[in-house]
Amino acid sequence: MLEGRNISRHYEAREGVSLGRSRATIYAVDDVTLTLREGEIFGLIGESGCGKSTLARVFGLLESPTSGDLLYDGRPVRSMGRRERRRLHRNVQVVLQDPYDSLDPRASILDIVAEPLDIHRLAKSRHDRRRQVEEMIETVGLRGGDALLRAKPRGLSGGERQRIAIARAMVLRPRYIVADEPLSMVDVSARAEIMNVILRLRREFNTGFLYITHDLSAAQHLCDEIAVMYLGRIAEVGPTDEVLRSPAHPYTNLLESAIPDADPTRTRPRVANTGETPEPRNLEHVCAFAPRCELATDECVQTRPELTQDGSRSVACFHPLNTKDLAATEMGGRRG
Amino acid sequence: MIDHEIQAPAALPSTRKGPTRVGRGFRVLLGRPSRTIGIALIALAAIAAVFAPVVAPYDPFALAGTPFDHPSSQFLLGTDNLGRDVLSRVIWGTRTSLPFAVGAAGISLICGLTFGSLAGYYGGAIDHLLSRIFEIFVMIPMLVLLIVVASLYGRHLSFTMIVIGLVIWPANAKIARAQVLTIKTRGYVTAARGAGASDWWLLTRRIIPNGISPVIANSVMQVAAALLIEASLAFLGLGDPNVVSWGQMIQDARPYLQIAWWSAVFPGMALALLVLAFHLIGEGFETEESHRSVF
Amino acid sequence: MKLKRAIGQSSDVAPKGVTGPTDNEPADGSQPTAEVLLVENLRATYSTAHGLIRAVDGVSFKVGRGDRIGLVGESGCGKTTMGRALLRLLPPNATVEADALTFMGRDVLSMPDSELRRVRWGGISMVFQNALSALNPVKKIGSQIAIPISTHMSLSRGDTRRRIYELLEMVRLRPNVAGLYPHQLSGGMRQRVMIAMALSCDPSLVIADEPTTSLDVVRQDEILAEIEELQARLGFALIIVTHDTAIVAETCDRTLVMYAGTLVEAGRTSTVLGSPSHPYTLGLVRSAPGLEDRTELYTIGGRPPDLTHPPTGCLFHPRCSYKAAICERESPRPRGIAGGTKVRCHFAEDVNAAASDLTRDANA
Repeated sequence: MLEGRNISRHYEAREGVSLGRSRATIYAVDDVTLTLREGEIFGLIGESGCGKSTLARVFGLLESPTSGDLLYDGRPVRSMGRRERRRLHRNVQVVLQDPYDSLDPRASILDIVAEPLDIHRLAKSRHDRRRQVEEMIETVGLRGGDALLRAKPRGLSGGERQRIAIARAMVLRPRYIVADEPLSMVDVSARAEIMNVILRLRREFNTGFLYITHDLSAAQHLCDEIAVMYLGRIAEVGPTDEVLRSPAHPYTNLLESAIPDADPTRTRPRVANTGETPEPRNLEHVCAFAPRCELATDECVQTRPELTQDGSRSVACFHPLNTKDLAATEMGGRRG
Repeated sequence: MIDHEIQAPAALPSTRKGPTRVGRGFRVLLGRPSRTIGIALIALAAIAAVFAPVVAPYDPFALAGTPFDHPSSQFLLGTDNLGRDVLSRVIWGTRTSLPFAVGAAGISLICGLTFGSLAGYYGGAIDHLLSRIFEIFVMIPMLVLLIVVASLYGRHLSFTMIVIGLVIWPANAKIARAQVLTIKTRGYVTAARGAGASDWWLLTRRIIPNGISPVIANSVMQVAAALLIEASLAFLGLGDPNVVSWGQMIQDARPYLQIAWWSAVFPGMALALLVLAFHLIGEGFETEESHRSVF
Repeated sequence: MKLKRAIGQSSDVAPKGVTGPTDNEPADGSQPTAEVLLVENLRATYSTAHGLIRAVDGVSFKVGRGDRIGLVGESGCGKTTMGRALLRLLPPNATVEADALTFMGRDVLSMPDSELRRVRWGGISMVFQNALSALNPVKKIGSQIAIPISTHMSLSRGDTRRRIYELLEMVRLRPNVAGLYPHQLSGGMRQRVMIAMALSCDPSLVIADEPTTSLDVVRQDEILAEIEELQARLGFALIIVTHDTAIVAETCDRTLVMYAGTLVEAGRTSTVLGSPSHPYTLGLVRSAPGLEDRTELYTIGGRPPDLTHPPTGCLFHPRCSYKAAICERESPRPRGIAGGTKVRCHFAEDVNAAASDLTRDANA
């Protein structure tokens, strides 16, 4: 289990260019608790700036939380020594968003995918190293033989590069992979293939995925459970189908109703203009979404709603949407 | 299971030409005519330096002929004010100039790359400290320092070389620092860190190889500069009297330019050609590399 | 003129220096035609070290006043090149040819530079994809919007400022935005600034190149709604260039599907995206599932062709599940089929039948 408890990551920000007057704390991630299990694909949804990438970096061992703990099988990462932490990387790997940036342009594909093996010195011989790389490249569905292994990334498309990045992340057979929007810069027609690759990897190796995305349809196809984030906080968590079919948090509902409908014969009402997303600061005692929420009341701007559990789902809202009420409210989206 | 086939080699431009690394290396080197000329000249100078005792017709210090002899079949480039063969002295001059210039630039490259990369990589207080050190070194007046060193320790070429190296390295450091600052934010560096790579691994395997080309280009230019500095120092009387130096030759020939132009012109030409050679390859290096590393 | 009415000023604010036909009126002074843009057999070829690349090869379509057209294609299909070709904005190593390329009845390819400059922005403007890189980071928003205004319309300082505020209001931004720098705005606000700039000289045609790619779903919806509303109000024709078929399905009346430099299918959106007739369109539509889909995701497979060594015959055949021998030999010509769509496929009818089956199953 890879567990994050009360993870926060904040930055001190200065107002004013010259003499740095008032300081405000920006909470990129604000008190988030999340558990990732092997064999489970956990989705993290939110718009840009909601903190999902920062949270991904914490889970990917690229950054430490400013408060809270990341626990690996119960042991806090904070308390681990350097060596143990390095070995931890063998079991937690990352796949990044930009496939044109995440592969060393001067390295061969073979060297790129073998990188984790080289870092941890886990290949027994050159032959063994090559064999492991070939196996993983085949597992992610690429065939190019020797020429591919020798080539540099230059001629490859976005989809092909992401497969290489995934092969690199998988070569050590890690227990968990943190994938930060891996498909947003991949062509539409190639996305489905890579989603199939991820599903296959989960089946074969029982890898747990933390899948960050803003694409709800991809989340629905891939993820068993999802968490919706807004301004650094979790708005709601639960099994994917339930959360997307009957959103409990008004923000989830807003997201859901803003998705364009691919069927040209249907019409969908556009979402009402809800205003700008503020910066995540000075939000200690309010609901972060209140300024944009139609259902907001006094309570919402005086106290911060905590995540309350209700069966398999949790919501952080004083006025969660009930399945019963969906047909009645204006914001019922297209279900109901 | 395999659902995606990549049709090589047409689809993979990096493997299109030249199967071996050596083959491709040659193509890179000889690709541009200017660079080829530069390399040829340097090769020539290097051969002259290595085989000087064999190739030079006379001992460079020997008073082999009458002073101020015109170029003739006996002394192809004439003799200087003491009757020494100019050709032999020009050839032996490579033994002084080349190692000196390459050595000074080499020191500059190593110091600049090391400290610049560290400053760029670690940032914060370390960057602050190192950047101030760069600036201090920039302020050092080269000539004054050389005079001091010369008066304290005598005029030895190796001391001069070290001093030059220590004076010119901040330029490389700044370039290296800028490169590292940009490259450390690249996805492939983050990915490697996520895979558990140590700082050393990241710097030596991912960051520096991708950022080194402008540093090398600059160092090549510094070789050319060092050549000129060495000559100028000899010209100013700070050179090492125990070696053959083109600058010294020109300095010695100055009062006699009217009657024995060859004793100044030929060493001057040799110097100019060698400086040109390094400029040619330095320039070519930068353009080719910077095109490649964009993608 | 529309411009005068928009500013609300008296008649002495007429743009100076405009004697003959204005940017938005046809050359011969006749009634404005319904046709804003006519493109026939447009070809754009790059000559590179690797050979000739036909980035756009034989594209034909018409844009009428007030039309809403979606140009769908993935990276490398040539849609960006085509957008630039319309305004002759391609680099020197590109050659643009066409049987016809006219804007408001005037031939773009043979236009003198002075006239072309007026058409650029005054007649056809673009909303660029990445606002952050399209905007100058060291200039305030106001002065950036002022640039096309001062180039195309000679307005006094006061009138320029009024026009800028008017534009900002049109895109629902507060006037104080004019005094801010791009980095002080959010992504959605920057995109609105791009739209304001595109509308600043009252164009007849706006080309929006991936206008919402960098935005999240909610912002995307808001921006698209605003574009729709502005279009209804000001009457310009709109071409949205995107890879997202869902946006096109919702916003555009007509759809053009581009692949490897050619239009493979073109027609009414409801037909093209609702029951496609080209295997590529079918693949695109099927691989973009909506939220209700629980079926196995469809994949097209393969990769776009290398345009320096294109395949023989139909460019799509290496990836096509309907491929037959004829597809390797003969490149299909565009032909009209039932429903008013034009397709480039030897087996368009079969594809269409399969597509109808699909929608039938989904609705069952």
